[in-house]
Amino acid sequence: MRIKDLQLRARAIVEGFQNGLHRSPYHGFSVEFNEYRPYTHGDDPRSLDWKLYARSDRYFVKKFEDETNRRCHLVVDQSRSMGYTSIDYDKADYARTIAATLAYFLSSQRDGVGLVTFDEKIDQVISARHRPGHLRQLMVALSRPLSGASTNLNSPLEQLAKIVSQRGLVIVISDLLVPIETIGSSLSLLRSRGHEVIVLRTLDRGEMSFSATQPGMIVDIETGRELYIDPAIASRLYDIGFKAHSQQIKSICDSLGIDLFEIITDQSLEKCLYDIVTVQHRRGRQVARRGSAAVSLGTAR
Amino acid sequence: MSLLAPLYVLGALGIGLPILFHLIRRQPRGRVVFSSLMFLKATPPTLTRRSRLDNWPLLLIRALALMLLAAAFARPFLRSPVLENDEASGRRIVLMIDTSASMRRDGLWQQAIDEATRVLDSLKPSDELAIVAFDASTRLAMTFDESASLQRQARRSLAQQTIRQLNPTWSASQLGQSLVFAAELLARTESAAGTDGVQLAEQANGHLILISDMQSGGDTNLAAVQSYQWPESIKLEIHSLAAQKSTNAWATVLEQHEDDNDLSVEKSDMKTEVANKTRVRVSSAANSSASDFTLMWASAIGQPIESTRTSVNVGPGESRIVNLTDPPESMSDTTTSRLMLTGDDHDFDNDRFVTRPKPMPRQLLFIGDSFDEPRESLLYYLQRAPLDNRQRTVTLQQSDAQALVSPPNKDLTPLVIVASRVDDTGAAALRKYVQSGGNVLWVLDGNTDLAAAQASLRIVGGVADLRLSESKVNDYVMWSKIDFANPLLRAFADVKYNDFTKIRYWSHRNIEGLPDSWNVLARFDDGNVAWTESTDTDGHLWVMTAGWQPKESQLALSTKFVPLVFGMLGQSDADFALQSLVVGDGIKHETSAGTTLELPDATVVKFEDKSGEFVASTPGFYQLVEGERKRTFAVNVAEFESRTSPLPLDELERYGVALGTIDESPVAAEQQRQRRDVELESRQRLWQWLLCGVLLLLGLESWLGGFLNRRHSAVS
Repeated sequence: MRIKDLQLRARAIVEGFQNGLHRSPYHGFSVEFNEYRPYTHGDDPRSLDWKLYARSDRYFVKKFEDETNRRCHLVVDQSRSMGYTSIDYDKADYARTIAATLAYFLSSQRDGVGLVTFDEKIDQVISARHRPGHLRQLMVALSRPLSGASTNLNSPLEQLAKIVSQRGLVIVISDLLVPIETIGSSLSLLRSRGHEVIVLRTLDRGEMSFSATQPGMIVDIETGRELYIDPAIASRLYDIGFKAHSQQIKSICDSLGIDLFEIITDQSLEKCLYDIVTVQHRRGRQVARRGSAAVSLGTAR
Repeated sequence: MSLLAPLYVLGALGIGLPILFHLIRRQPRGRVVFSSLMFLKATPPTLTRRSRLDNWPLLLIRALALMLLAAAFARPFLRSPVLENDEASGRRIVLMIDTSASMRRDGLWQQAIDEATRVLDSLKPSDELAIVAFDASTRLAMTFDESASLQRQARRSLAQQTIRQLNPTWSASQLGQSLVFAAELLARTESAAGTDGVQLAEQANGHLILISDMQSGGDTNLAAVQSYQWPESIKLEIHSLAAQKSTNAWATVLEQHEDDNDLSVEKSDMKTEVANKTRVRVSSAANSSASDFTLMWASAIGQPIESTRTSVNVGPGESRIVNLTDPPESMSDTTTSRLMLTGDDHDFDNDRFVTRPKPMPRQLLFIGDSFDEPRESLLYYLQRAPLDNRQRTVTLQQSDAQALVSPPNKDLTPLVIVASRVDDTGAAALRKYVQSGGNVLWVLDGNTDLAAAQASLRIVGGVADLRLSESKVNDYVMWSKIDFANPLLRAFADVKYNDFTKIRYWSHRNIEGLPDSWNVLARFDDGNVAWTESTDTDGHLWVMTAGWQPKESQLALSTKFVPLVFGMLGQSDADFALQSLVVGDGIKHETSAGTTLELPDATVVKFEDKSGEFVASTPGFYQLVEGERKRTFAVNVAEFESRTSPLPLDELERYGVALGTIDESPVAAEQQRQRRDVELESRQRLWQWLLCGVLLLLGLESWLGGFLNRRHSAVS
C-alpha cells in the first residue's frame, strides 16, 4: 500500500506472485496437456501430433484444455463501510488493490476484464475487454474515492446479470456487511445465469470482534446513526452476531457453489492471491473435466 | 441584607452541577466511528459504584466554600434606616436668577419670583442650596454654608427672603460668565467634598437651576462658556420665562464717522447737509410682532419735542439707520437730550440718553509772518484747513512774537505754531505753556533765522546743546522711517494711507544734539530728522525741520496735512469726546476736594477720599463736577440687552453645557440608589469577612481531606 499508483502496485504484486509461483511445488504445469486420442474423420488435421506419429506411425490428436479467452467481471463495493479501518489503510484500498491486481493478472494472460463498482446502486460499469488502454481505464475507475452512503448488493448484481449476457467469471469484492437475505438472493441470481462467482469478503481485523474499551457513542460510518454502547455488554453480542452472519454467508456460498474467501486487510496480498489461485487451480482441475469455465485463474501463468 | 451584584449569586449554582452530573450519568468520552451498527444494540447507562457520593462532609465543606465565595462576589451589605437618612443628604443646587434689565419687562420679574418659590418648594429637606443673582456682574446672594447651617424651615424662609430682596437692575445680562461662576461654585464644593473619599460617589449630584428670560442678547457672552470645560456631572435646568407681548425695539445713537471729520475733506459739502442730523440705528427684536415705531427727541427731563417725531418701519430682527433731525437748540438742554422710541411693548430700553456737547471755542495761535505769496506762506494753508468738528470751533489767530509775554491758556489754546524767532520772554512763556500741558509745533522753514530759532528752541525744549543748520538737498528728499506707533501718525498706519512718497521736500534744516528722550517721528531719506517730539513735559513740543508751503514741500497740498494738524489739535481734546457709557461702566473721578457727582435722580455724591470709579447703576445723565470743570455723562442700557428674542436652548448645548432636569426620573432615582448602595457596600466591606470564611473552610477541607486519606490508607 506504500506505492501510490494503483497499476504499479498491481504489477508489483503480480510479478512478485509469479516469481513465487516459479518457486512453488506446482512449477512445470504450465502446458495443460489433457490427453491423446486417436484421429478420427472430421478432426482438424492441424491438431495431429506429428511427433507421436513419427514415433508410433499412428495418428493421434493432442487434446489441450480449453484455453479460450475468458470474460471476467470484477464487482467492487465502493460504499462507505469499506472506508473503515483500524490500521494504516482501509478496506477500500485493499479491495482496490486486489481488484487491480486481478485485473492486471487476467489481462496479462489476454483475458477480458470488466469492472463494476457499486454502493447502494451501480456506480460505474466497464465491460470486459482486452485491448490496449483498457487496463488503464480500469485503474482510473478504481481510483475514485468512496461515495455511496450504504451498501445494497441486490440491485447492482441484478443489473449486472442483465448487462452481461455471456457467461463468465464474476468476482465480487465486498465486506458483505448487509442483511443476509439480500446476499443469498443476489448471488443465486448470478449463479442462475451460469456465471462462475467468486466472493472475496474484505474485512478489517477490528470488525471481526468489537474492540472498544470505553463506553461511548458509536457512529455508523454509512448512515451517521449514533448509538450509546457499553462495550462490556455489547462486544459479546457483537461477536455472536458477526459469527452467525459469517456462517450464514458461508453456507449460502457453499450451497450455490460459490468460492468464498475471507480476506483480512492486515494480511499480505500475495498470500491471499496465492490462496485464491491455489484453491481455484485445484478446483479447476477437478471441474475442468466437466467442462467448467472456472479454470482461468488456476491455469494462469 | 442586600446584594450589590446579585447575579454573582448564580455562581453558587456551581456547587450543584458536579453533583448533578455525577449522579445522572457519565458523559461518553467521545464518538467512535464504526463500519456498521448491524451487530450492535444500544446499551442503557447504568449507575456505577463510582457515581455514588462517598465523603459527604468534604463535599459539604467544599460546597459551603463555593457558596461563600459566590456570596462574597455578590458584595452583600446591610441597609439600615439611619444610613438611609444619612445618605439622603444629596443634592447641591445653585439657583441662578437673572436680574438683568430685560427682566423689567411686563410681569417677568413676578414670574421669576413665582418660579423661584416653586423651585424652593420642590426641594428636599436634605438639599443644599445657593442662590446666585446675575446681570452684568454675578453675586452670590446665598451661599451653601448659610444653607447648610440652617434647619429646613429656616433655610426656606432665608431663601425666600433673599429672593424677595433681589430686584431687576439696569445692567445687561452676562449669562456666559455667570454660568461659569455657578458651575465653578458647584465644582468647588464638590471637590471639597471629594477630599473625603466616602462622598466621592455623591459628587455627581450638582444641579444648576436657571431662572431667566433667556434673551438672545446674552449669547454674545456665551464665549465664556465655550472656553470653559463644563463638568459633565453638573446639569443645567432652565426655567425659561416669557413676556406676554414680544415686540421690542431700540434705538442707538451712532457717532459721526470720524472719517468724515478727519480724512475726507472732499466730503465737506455732504457733511454740512447732515450736520444738524444724528444717525440713529433702530433695531427690532427677532420675535417682534409690530414693525412701526416712532422716534422723538425729548429734553433731559423727558419732555418730548413733537416737532422731531419721526416714524420708522423696521421688520422683526432687522435694523435700519435713520438720519434724525437734531432737536432745536433753543428747546433742548444745552448739552443733554433724550431719544425716545415708542410703538413697542417694552419700554425699559426705549429712552436713549445722549450728551450733545456744544462746540467749544478753541484757538490756534500762529506766531509767524504772513506772506502775500501763498506759495511761501505757512499760514495760508492753515487758514484753509477745516479744523472744526462737533466738539470745537477753531479760530486761527496770528500773533507777533513780541506779543507773547505770558503762557497761553492751554484749554482755550490747545496748539501754538511757531514759525519765526521768539525772544527770551516769549520762549520762557512757551516753555511754561508746554510744561503745563500745551502743545507747540515749531516749524523751521526756509524763512527761519536759524541762530535765533536755535536759541529759542534751547529754552523752550530745555536742551542746552541743540544745534540747527541748513541742510543741502540734492533734487528732493522724502519722509522715511515714520513712527506709525505714535498717536499722531497711528491713523496712517493702515496700508491704504501709509504712502508718504508723494510728499517731496526741496529743502530742510538739520537739527542735532537731541537728547534720547526726544522721539523722532519721521526722518528724511538722507537720514536727517524731519519731525521730532519732546517727551519731557506734560504737553508736547514738536519740531518740523521743513515747512509745508509748496515752496518747500508738497505736504500742505497732500491729503496728510489736515489730519496731521487735526491730530496735533486734538491732543488735549479727550474731554470733548462724546461720553457714552452703559450701565455698569465706571465713571472715573480724580481726587480733589469738592468733587461731586450728580446722579440721574438728582442725588449728589461727594467724593471726599481717593480717586476712583463710580459704577453707574441706572441709565440717565451723570454730572461730574471737579472744581470748575463740569462733565456730563450719558449712561444707557447696554444695546445687546434689548435683544429680547429668546435664545434657542440648543445653543447652550452647542457650547458644551449639559442640560438636564432636577426632577428625578425613575432612572435617575435608581442611579442614585445604586450609588448609595455602592457607597454602603464600600463602607461595610462584608465581602472581606466572607473571603476569610472561605479561607477558613478551605483550610478545614485540606485538613479533613488529609485526615481521611491517611485513615483510608491505614485501613487498606
